[in-house]
Amino acid sequence: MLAEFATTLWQHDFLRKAPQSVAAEDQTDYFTILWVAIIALPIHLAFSLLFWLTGLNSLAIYNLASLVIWLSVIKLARRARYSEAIMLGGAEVIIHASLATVFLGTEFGFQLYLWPTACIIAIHTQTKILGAILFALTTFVIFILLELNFSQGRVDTVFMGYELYFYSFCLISGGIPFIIGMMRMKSVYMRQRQRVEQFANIDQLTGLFSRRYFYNFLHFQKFQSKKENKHFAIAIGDIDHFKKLNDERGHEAGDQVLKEVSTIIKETIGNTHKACRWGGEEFLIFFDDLELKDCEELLNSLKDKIKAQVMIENNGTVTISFGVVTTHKEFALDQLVFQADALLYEAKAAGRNRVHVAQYSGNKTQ
Amino acid sequence: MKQLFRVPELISLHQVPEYRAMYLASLIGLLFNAVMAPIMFMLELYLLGVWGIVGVLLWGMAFIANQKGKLRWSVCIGSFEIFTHANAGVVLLGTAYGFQYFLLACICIVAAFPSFNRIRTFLWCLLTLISFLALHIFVPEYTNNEFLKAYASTTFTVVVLSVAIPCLAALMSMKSILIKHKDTLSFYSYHDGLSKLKNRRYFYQWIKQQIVSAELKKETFSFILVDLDNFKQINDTYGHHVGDEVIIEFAEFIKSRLREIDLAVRWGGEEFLIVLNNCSGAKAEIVMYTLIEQFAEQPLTKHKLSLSFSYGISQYSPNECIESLISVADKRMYRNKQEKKHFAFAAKSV
Repeated sequence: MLAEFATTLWQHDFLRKAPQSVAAEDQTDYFTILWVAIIALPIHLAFSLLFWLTGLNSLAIYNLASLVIWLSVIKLARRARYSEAIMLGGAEVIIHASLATVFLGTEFGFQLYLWPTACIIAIHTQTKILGAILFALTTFVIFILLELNFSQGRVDTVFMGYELYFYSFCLISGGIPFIIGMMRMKSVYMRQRQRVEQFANIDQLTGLFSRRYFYNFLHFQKFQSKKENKHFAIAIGDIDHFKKLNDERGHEAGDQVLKEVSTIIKETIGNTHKACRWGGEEFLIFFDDLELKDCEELLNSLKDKIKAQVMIENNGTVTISFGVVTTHKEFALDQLVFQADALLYEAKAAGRNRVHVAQYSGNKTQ
Repeated sequence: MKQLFRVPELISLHQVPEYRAMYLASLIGLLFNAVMAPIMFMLELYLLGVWGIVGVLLWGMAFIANQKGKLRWSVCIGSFEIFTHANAGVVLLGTAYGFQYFLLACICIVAAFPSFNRIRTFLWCLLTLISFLALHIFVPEYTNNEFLKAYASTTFTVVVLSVAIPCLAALMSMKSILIKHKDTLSFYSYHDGLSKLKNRRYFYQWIKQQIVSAELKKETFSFILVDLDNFKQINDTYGHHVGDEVIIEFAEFIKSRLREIDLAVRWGGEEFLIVLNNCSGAKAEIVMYTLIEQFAEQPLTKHKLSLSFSYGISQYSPNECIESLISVADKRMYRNKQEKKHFAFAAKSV
């Protein structure tokens, strides 16, 4: 009977489904607030009974009042007013902890709840910045005042002698949610950062790096290679007769070819080297610490793979040409790219589906 | 000397906030220890004085590690210093001075620091929490030193504030980054990255409300599909990056000519969809006519190209499907393009 009741309660829509006013991106925030409030309800009810039985009537009444406050927190969250909900919940914790400390003294450790509350309110993205700073600072001031003025409790209770248990309980039950809360914010941060970078750095169609990202990347690599005395190579590749393909078979066929070619490039160069979509049908590949001969070999196999694997309907093949340049000690990035481009042009002129290589020669005027 | 104030080149862009946080933390740590060490010697607390000197060295190491891009090492050294120093301070002086609260700040920063493994972070924080509890249980309020006792409450206040304020500052900076990321993400999910116009996904959400409100107000609205002429030729002649800039400038042109209640969407490569609110098809025709004239008069500035565009209009009437309205506009646009046939765009010399 009881188990059945518990499962129906557990699967109740109230706990599982957010109301329509909650936007999809705020679902996690909503459920976090909901669960904190739901856990707070029975705890306060239990404490209220406990204090009433032990004769601490004022604390018992305050516990009943906080039941009402936590219910309003749920109400606010359901109306998508998260900032107010969090602030109200935080205020409840702070007033409650302060009252308990004033009555029982700092030895019971209820004042320790102020720390996690202040930090979590400060970092939560749903609270406003100025409000959060003021709130947190006030909390710390209250904490100092409590510690300095209320080391002795105002009332005698049956709990005397058990202070250390209360203190440990408060520290652990405040501290662990604190650690978890901080770590959760961190994981949200990491996930967001990854997605933001992906939007900015990855080309949507091919999944290769975007041109903007790669330009910064090459600058960074130039700096690194100078420091570690290494050299690298860049290859610019261009799909042969891509314009014709686009015109004859339409953009969708063209996009499909771009995708397939990119996949093969990614598979062939592996993790040590990097590739980006430099322009429409142009790719730029960065080879880290590779000799010119190995570079040429790798690109030749890449070129053959593309010819063998990428097919257009009605037995057309796709080929690609490359221009490759390796760096010296001193070089200019623009010159490097320019030279690779010139080599690519040479390869195209020499009949396409070829790889042309050279050392960096610099000083060539455009 | 100047190098110390610049973010070193080897810090990659996304690590800059973490780098800054550790930069500040290690400078505060250096300063704090450098001030505390002589005071401890003066109070004849030699052990703590030596610890202060060690603290200066450790924070110096943390600073150098941070400058060299080894952020994790920097955080490890820093949190180790706080952990040992706070424990030593409490054991030697007593809990009344509040040095144990440095441990809570340590938890806060280690738990929120991005580049740490999850389990190790949790264990390290738990250990710090337990040591906090152990200090409370086993160390008396005042161990020795009668002289310091008189300043206990002042020290307590200073210590707690000097823990709380940097801790809050770090959390707030993280929060502002979080909020910025959130905004960027919601921007990208409803906007086209290149033209900064709204994207299709936004359009389909927006149009539902638009239909409801139009039917309530008994108004109508029109769809206009706009396509740049000869865009492919621009791409092939001048390169993709000029093509991109043309898209950006054209999007700005459209947006600047629309009212707040209208909507411009990047529909595909060089296609744009405009929704004119409370506007019949005939009125929309007039609007587009003036737009075409204005656009011809004002060539795109950056590359001095004079371009033209074609459009097709369809008017909304109740119970009509959006898809079919757009395809009607598309067909009309295509017909207009065929009729026009003035495929001439010229690059005006600078």
